[in-house]
Amino acid sequence: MSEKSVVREFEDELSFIEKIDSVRYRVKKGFVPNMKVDGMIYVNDSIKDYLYEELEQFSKRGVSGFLPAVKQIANVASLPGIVGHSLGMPDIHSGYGFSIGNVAAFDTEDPLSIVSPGGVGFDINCGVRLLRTNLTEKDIEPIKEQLCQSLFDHVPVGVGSKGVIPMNIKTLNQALEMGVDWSLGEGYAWVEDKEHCEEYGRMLNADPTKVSERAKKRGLPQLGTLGAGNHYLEVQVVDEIYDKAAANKMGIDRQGQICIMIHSGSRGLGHQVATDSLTLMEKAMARDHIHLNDKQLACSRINSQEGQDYLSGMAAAANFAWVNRQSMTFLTRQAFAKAFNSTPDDLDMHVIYDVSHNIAKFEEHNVNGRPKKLLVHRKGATRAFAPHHPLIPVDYQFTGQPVLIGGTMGTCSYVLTGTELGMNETFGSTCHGAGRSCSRNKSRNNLSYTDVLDSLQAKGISIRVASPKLVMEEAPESYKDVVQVIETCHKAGISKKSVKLRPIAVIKG
Amino acid sequence: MENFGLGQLKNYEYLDHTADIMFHTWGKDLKEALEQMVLIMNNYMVELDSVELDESATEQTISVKGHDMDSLLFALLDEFLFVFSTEFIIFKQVEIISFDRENFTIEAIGKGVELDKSKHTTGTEIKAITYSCMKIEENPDKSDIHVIVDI
Repeated sequence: MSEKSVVREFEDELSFIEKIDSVRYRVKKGFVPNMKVDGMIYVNDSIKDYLYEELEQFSKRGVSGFLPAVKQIANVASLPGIVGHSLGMPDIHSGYGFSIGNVAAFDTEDPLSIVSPGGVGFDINCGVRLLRTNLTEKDIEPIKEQLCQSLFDHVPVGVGSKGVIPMNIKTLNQALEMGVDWSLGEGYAWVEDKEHCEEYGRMLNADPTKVSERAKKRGLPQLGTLGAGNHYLEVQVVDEIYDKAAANKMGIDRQGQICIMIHSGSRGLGHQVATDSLTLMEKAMARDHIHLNDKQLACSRINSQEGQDYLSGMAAAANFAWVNRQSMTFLTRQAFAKAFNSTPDDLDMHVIYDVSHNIAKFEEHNVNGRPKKLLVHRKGATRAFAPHHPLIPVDYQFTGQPVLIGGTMGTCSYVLTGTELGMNETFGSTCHGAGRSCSRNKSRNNLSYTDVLDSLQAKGISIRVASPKLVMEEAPESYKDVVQVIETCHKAGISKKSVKLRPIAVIKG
Repeated sequence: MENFGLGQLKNYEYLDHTADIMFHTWGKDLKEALEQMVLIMNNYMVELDSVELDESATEQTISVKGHDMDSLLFALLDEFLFVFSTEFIIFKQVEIISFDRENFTIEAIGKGVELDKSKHTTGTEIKAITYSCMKIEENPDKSDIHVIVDI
């Protein structure tokens, strides 16, 4: 629990939050102790109530229970070396230490600057990949149920599922070091796939020796598995095109075109890397008598041994996640090829892009008009680099980096593109999804299994789910409206709407 | 699916948390509350009333060590999560056979079966155990434990 939390009356708390315009709220220094910069939260009128309600409850309840997201944003603003703002995206909600939807950048030239596993999250390099096809909704319709079942049979999903890609400890180490390059060597990837991944699907600072045996053992049976919870594989239809030029560059040229979205991460391997380093850093902080606003913000100086070890292990886990999404891409291509008696090539099943929304990376950004090398933490936030940025592939130089935003079961997903304003305001970052608004327990108690399934069926969505209770927990009613999240980012100008996708088949844990 | 009941798991409840889930268990002493905590976690991953401890059931001894009570509880749960993630064994019976409060060690024997998706109803994957809002309360006639796991 937080050691230095200030509890005030709700009205007093509000005096620290300043509305700047219809989508920007500043959290002023003094809201929690030791804030080095202000917080900045992007929400519009229709979603800001979630944040205020959480804060109001906290004021009434006192310091017991979890911290509201606004407090967490402010606590992160108190960490050594932070620059700019501690940023909150519209899909923000309370998480472990850092809220989910938080972006925070630390100056690498400042020797006190930190790295925090809580700023990345337990699912290292959880991310979204989008594949396109040259099929249309009409092609899918007659065989939709069979296709849905075939995808469910091809891609291992749910609790305790085992991967079908043969793996041993030696090949695992190679995968951890090489990321998608390993998949390419093994024949699970096309050369072009790599081009369309953030970091080209491989973080070069990955060091498999910094990943514990325990983490590797958890990862070994799970490569090429989707997982459970909010992870999914969806067959989607292009519903609306907002930016024709950008969509064309992505190979999306008409409404009704079929795409496939994969949302998954680094599985047990990444979870264990995060757990290992959090435990280590918490212990080290107790040893060194370092007191932060919240114990969950466990962190180390970037240049310390613990900090460097975490960054190398995190990078290896990130590579595992790319190999994981690549392996499922391979399986998806097989399933489609069989279903349409064709080849993935002839179905034009190219990767549009692959983004990470739980990661920390060294990037160069302008701070007060001067370029600086920063360590940018994005937890439940997506990189959204502007046109002409050197780190985005040549295909997207004129459009800006594609940003993939997964909706929730039964709701739409979006493709956005990065903007120059985002580079200046949010270190080239935007939202990552809908963000929960309702606890899993409440969802399970308030919604009925058949109601949720009926409502999906009414929308023409086929679904295969491994666990019945997930159906309620992941129902759209449990999440913030993804449309409002996207509108807020678009209005603020930190990313731009490009394509809207509607699900027609969902595979879930 | 046949219902085999929850067996040893009886003193538990699931509590609200926006993105994650909080487990609350209790018992006449800390030992019982800890055993219930291991079982509630297993029940969250695979519904225990769909699990039968038949002749295929195996026993496993688990030894863990912490540096205080919180870290000992963390280590106990992390170890059972590890066994499930790597060997796919779902435990329906747990007995703590040694509990050293000075050196913070626990030895426990778990009895369980390998996950079989054709027989068992799966729940949600647990990514990690957390220290968030962790609470161990020991009283003469009742002990309580609260843990949030990341899912």
